Amino acid sequence: MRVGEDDNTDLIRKACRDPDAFAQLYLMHYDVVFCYCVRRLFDGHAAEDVTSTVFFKVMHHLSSFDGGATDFRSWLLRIATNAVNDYLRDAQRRTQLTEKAVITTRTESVFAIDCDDKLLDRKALLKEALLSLKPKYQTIITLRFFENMKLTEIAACLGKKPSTVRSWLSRATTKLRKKLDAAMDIRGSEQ
Amino acid sequence: MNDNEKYIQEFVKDLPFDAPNPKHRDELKKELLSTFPRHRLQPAGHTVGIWRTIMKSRITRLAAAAVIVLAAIAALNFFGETSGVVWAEVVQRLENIKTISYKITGDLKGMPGIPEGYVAHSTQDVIVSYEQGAVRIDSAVQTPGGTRKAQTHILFKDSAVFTVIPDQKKYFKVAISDEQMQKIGEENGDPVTLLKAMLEHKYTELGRKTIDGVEAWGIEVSDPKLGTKMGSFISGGVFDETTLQLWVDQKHELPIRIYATGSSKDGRSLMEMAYDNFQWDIKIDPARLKPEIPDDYELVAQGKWEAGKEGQEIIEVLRLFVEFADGKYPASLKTMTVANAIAPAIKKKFSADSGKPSKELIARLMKVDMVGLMYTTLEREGKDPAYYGDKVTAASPQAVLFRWKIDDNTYRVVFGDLRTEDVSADKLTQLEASSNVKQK
Repeated sequence: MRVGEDDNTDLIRKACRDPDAFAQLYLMHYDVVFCYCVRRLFDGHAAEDVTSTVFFKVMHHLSSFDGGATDFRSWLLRIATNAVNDYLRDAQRRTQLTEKAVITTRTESVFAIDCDDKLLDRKALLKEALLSLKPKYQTIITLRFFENMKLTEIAACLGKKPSTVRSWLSRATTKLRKKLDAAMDIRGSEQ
Repeated sequence: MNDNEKYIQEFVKDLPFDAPNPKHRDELKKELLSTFPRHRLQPAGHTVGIWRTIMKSRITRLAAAAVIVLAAIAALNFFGETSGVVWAEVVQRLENIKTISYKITGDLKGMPGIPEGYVAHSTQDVIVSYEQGAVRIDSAVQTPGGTRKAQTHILFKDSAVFTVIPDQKKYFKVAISDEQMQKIGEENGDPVTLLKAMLEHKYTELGRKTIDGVEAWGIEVSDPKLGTKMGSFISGGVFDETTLQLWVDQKHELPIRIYATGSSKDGRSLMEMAYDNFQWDIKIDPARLKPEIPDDYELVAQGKWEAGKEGQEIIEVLRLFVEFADGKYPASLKTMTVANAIAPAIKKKFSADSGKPSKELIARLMKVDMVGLMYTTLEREGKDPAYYGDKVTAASPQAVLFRWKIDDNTYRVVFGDLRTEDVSADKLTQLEASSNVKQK
């Protein structure tokens, strides 16, 4: 157990019934949830909507959390994953997001500071490719490469066996790479 | 890390994403706090004597265990020969299930062992083996005094329930007669019986819903008589209203979630539980299903619940009121009413004497939590029970306090002084009329 973990565990317990403690817990974890959502959805407004959904769920179900402070992040990300997947499940919305991903890339560049065109292009390719994968593969990719979680942590977060996660990760990375390669080939031939 | 992973890691490196917006963060905070659940704002909990905490923790476990057992069995037997698209296959699948594990989370208020007005947050990890006839529940309940952890083992083959509290090195044992165990099995284990019980009541098809990203189909039963008809375990004599909602994963045709809610009319008792994380036919180490009780653990008390002796057991509980509460009986035989009525008297007695109740007394007190269950058992079995504790005290030795039917035309009557007499139905009518206990 890390230093301060006891305090966090106490805070989680208090937050079940004390609005101030809940507010503190919320502020400590808002960024984690938002950053995860924005990396899944590639859209700041959509990420804010889903972040709101996540924290309302957290507020109503915090009492069901029975782990320690180290598990709390995984628990939050699990809720966030379900919320993002629910959001994406609307096929029309998913299509819109994918389309928007391409359209907004260039617009973004107008406002981008410290971002070169190559990075924005890469981001656009990733958005298109990633959002076309099944939600479970999107989840795995985001948790592994953006949240830098280990397989066992992802397994705990998703409530799956590590072997299942390993297999999903393998399929997800293969599919994503193929899509990225294909997209870059098209991009190359257009230029 | 393989090539694909290295490739993707390199690809995503340094990609720019929107940063969190402090304005949204602050607005959401305000919104959340404005809707913070009011029932969570807890009053300070009462301090309770350690013996009582121990006793009641067992009781809570047992009550919860009973709920769980029914829910587990209900999960297996909810569906029968309905004409639904999915149900026939669900039944087929469930009939072949040998083991289950699942998690229960939720809030409990006004249950035995939980201070008045306090909402206790409860989590329970349950494993059930139908092959071995055993259930294990690892539970944690947050109370003002901290989190109470316990392991409950229900051993159907041994007709016994053990509750072990490792933190305190203590355990309880309740023996349930073979007849009672068999009855529980017959009433709750038979799909047709249970299905008929459901169909006798109003049930609602809830349609489709997405649960944790899974398409599910739901059914709900909500009826005041649900508790008694379905084994009374859900209500346990605590709740006036209970609702059971079951959602089945349409793809795999297995239950994915159960919601059990219960409430009393006076609002003092509440249960909101969700059952999920179901895993079917998992491998269970048989050793996990047997209670591990080290030699240095103290057996706090042993209880016994025998089928057909509910009326007598209730009298034993009422005797506590003669001994400790000046003969003033509880207003009703609902578990919480009885517990709340006897607790102050017992507490007063033992705080004044600075003594500790005997194991025998604790065993007697353990029956308090079963009162509601026993009374609803009498109702369910058509034994026509009636209780008049709101009008009769020990000071009225000739008045009818409690009665139930012991055969077709004979009632056992318990008078204010707890004397009993077996009388005909006609005689009972006269006795009740002279006692002035019947509502006009």
